[in-house]
Amino acid sequence: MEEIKELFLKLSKEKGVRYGELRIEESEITSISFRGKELEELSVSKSRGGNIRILGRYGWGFVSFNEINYKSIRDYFEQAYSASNLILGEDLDIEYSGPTVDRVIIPMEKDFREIPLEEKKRLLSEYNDIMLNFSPKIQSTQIRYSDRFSRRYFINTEGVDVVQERGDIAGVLVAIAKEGDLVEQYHYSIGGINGFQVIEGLHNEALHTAEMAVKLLSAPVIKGGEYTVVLDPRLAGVFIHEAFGHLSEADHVYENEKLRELMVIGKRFGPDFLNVVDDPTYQGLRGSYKYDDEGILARKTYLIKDGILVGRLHSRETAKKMGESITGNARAINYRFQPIVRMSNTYIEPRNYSFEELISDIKYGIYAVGAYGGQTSMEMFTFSAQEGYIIENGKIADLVRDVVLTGNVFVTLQNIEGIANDLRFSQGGGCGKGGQSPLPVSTGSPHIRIRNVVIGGR
Amino acid sequence: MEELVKRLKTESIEGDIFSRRGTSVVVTFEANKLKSIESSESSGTGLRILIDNKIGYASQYGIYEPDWLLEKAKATANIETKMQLPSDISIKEEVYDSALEDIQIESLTKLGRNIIDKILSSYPDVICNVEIGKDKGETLIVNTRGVDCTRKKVSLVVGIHVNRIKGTDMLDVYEETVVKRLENLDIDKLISKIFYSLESSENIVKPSKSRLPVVFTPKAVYVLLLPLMSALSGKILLMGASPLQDKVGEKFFDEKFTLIDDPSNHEGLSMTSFDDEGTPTRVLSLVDSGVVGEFYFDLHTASLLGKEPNGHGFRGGLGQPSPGLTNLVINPGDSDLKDILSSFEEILVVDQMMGVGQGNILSGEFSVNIHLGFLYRKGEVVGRVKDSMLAGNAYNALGNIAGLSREREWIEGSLYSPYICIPELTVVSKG
Repeated sequence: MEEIKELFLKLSKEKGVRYGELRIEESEITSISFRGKELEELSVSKSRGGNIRILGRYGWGFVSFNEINYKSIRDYFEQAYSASNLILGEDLDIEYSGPTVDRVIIPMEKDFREIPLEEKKRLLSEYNDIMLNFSPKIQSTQIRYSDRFSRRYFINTEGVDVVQERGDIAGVLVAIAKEGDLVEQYHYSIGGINGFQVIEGLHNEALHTAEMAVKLLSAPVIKGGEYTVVLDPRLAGVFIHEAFGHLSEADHVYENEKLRELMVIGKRFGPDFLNVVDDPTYQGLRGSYKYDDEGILARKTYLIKDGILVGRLHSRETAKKMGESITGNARAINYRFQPIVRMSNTYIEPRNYSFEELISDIKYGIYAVGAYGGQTSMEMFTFSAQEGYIIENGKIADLVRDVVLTGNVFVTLQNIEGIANDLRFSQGGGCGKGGQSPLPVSTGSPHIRIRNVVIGGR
Repeated sequence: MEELVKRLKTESIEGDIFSRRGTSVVVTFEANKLKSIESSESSGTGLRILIDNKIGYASQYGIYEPDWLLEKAKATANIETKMQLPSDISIKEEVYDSALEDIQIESLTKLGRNIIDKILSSYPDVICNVEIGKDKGETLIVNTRGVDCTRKKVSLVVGIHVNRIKGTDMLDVYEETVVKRLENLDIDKLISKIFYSLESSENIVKPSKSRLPVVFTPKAVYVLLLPLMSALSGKILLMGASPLQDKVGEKFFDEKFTLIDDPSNHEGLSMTSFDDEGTPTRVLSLVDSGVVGEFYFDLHTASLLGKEPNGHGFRGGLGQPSPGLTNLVINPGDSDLKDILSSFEEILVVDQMMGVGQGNILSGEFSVNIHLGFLYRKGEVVGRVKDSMLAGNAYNALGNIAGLSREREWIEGSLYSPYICIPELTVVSKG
């Protein structure tokens, strides 16, 4: 590895490269899945690859590869260098950070690499059996689990030399219930970066997953309309990720004059009790890291403070172009991709209300719980709940299903009426952008209440 | 690869080896400017073995260590199966357009520049992001029973995203095309679709009622197809979770609806005569005039169900094979699109949606944001519908189709579909 690094720096110097990066990544993944009572997959995979990115005068040359040796690196360097010189146009500059040498190891309490395959399989099959045996209405189940240990080497021409190691577990438990022609499902996301113990002791969650799948069979489809909604922390986290998080990624904004005007720092986006944060330094979440994939030290960034837009997420390039502070949010899902501006752990800060206070004066509304996912086009966004409950005269009433909500960034955030005191993070999230999916991110929020939210329905 | 096959044979282990190699070049224009030029080389190998009717699997990207692969494959051999590997098939498949293969980076950047110039000359106030990628891939599958197949392919993908902002109103239009032959690349058609969307979005309008007829453009048809694609998979059948499992041979959909999966279609990106397990592919009649037809399987799933394999075992990257589809083709109808549109007082045309697949796909329920949709009155477009949700059930919708257009379009090189008109769905709009 050392001689590969030296070669890269020597070649960069010879060519007078203004800025260049070399990333090399090694990873090992174990995947286990069940489908119904059958073990569906048990496999191991190993990967080694890297990339070189070179900044030319007007743009980037990038090469990714699997073959890593003295000769190939020379060729790939040449490819990236000549690609960077093929680009003509406007001058492009980036933010520089200065030299850093570091080795970062995120410790695992129970290192999953030391747990035998048999034991991983046994634990998952316990959860599977709990779901399968819950009720005759449980038609089938699905469990997906993968653990991935990765080591990322990063060096650049300004003297950054960082190695980061981490273990990441991601997965899901799914219960499928059936009655007549009706098929319903419910899922529970599992995962984390602190070791195998994060997926131990989830027997109650498995039971709840099966129970909900069965309950949904008798729940009616929600009636479409505009509602006052209360979102649980999981869905509220996805909401803020979609509703505002993506729009605060500077690469959407920096080259778009009109969007820059709409997203000007100091503009009000929400009520004065709304604070939104992105924080990769928050410990122990799947979106946590010390250095981003441009070698920038991660830091906490306020996106919205007291309802006002105060910051956004940057790469070296977008920070320079916009004249704002770099934030360390350039990330790539793996060595095949260039780093782009991404969120890390994005959350709404807690306030004073209890959940009961939040719903107490709602005459008719929806309590939306859990998250299937969400999507945004910047202005409009959607987010889907796993289940909904009618709120009637301040009380939680009947279960409803197929609850998909939509909003508009210029309206919906202003319609937030209350934020509770019970901040919780979700670990399971994977975010997609620019063909790079899933990137480990976490979202968090207390319960929040929003008025006039459009929910689709038949 | 050959040494590994030999080793398996000496140890009397059955198995197959799957490898991929690829190179790609991508030029990216951001905000009307060329931003980056990217190239990639990749290679990897997956080994599947069968020991005592149990499957084991290991794979490697970027490294090739036969000892490690074999050791890990043995260590993971846990999955009980009755599958038999196919035998004695040797196919060399090359889908290679030399004009496309020879195209240089400079030509790709020039193509991108031309696209942007054309768009800006008519719409100077928009922002264009364009991505053009050339992908060359080689797939190899060999097994211990004499299968030795290779597939070489080259394709070109052009993606255009146009953004227009007026006040706080944002419009994003996406068009994409994938071709295997350079002569099939029709940039003007893509651009004219973008112009059409830009023109039709000048006004923001609302439907006059919440239940109205809806046309799904070929790009939007996936929201109706996803539940079927899932329900017809051997895996879902195996789970007993397919709403179509006891409907085979029954007329479950509208008789105007015919859907096949056609691995032999020359225009489809996934054309191939063998799947990723070395099984010969064949055309599947998924829905024939509304009647539920065949499910699709890989070898392992077929064996668990006691069905004949039908050549639909495909792999994502170097993952294990699972049931997969190739080129989906929907039969056209007999009306022109404009006649369908003008036959209703008011009709919604949906082109782009958000939230597709985020929900219970098995039940067929969908509830999506209309990201790009247009309202027509008496056959004339009156404006764009936004801040609205469209909801329905895909099975009900495809069970009662008002009409399919004569015109068809390829979407992402994997779906060839007409415009589909559903007589009534529910739209909920903001206040």
